[in-house]
Amino acid sequence: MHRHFARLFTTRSWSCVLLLGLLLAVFHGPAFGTEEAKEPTEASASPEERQEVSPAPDFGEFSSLLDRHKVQLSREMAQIRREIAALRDDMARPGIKEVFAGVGYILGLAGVAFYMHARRERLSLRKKSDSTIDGNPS
Amino acid sequence: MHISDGVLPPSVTVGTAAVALLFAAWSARRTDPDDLPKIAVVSSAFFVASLIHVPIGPTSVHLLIPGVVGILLGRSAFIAVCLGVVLQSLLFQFGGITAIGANACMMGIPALISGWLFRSMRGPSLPRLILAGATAGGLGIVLAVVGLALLLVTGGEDFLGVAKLAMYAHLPVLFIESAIAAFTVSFLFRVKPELLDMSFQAHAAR
Repeated sequence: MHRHFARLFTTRSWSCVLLLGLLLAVFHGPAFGTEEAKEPTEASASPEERQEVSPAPDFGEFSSLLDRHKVQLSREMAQIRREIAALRDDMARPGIKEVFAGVGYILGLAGVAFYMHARRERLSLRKKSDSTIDGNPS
Repeated sequence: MHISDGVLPPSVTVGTAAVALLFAAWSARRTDPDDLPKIAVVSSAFFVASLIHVPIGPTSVHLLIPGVVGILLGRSAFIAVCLGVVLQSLLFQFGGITAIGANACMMGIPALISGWLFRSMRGPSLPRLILAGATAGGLGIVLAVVGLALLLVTGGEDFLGVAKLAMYAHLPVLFIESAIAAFTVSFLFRVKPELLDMSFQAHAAR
């Protein structure tokens, strides 16, 4: 019996226990954590809101903040629009891909022309040889 | 220097396409099949040369090399130019698809003329050959500009105005192409003179 217990507490069993513990921590830890974390944030957010709402609303400051945001956003939008235009320009410009495609087309067409020429030559040679055989029935 | 879609009236578009087809058929018939690899290489060079931009002022113009094509290919030049123009229009969006005929005429006929000029001007000595090459290379551009102006006149433009503008824009290209043609001719004369002779001999035989 003692030996059995001793075997139970070998390194493998310890590692199993550790793993179980880890699993527990992983699956339950965050849940507990978030629940715990949510409560304080809610608790801390509400006083802030109350603080913001409670004084008289400063519309001038608000509108100036919004204006500043608007200017910044429009500036960023303009920058992005410029970048898109540049990108479109770059994409419209033919690159190495088109060059290779064209050269490939040209070489391929030259190959087809070569084939036609060779075929014509071969046929004419065959005709010639046929006619010489017909012409000299030795 | 490419004509876009919708610039030329339909009658001119159809007419130039017919002329280009006629020239292409004639050029193909006069082509020696043994010259095919050379034609392929020169067509590729013509096709790619339009990507080499020469910056001048706010805009840039690109190389055209009709003169060099004419010098190297003689009568086969037109078919090479046709192929190059078709592929430029399809792959690079240089020039409209309906204006392929006009563009082929605008580049191909100067190529033929400069090839003919080179053949009649060249002499056995290297300086004479270089002079002929440079003249033919420059003439290709001048004739292409004249062709452009002639074609645009049918679209309702003023001939002298277009010709002057295009000529000024292409002056650097003219000099560069003269230099390229002269260098090509002198280099080939020293390295592989039969490349210059072959097409002309083939033409003489036909």
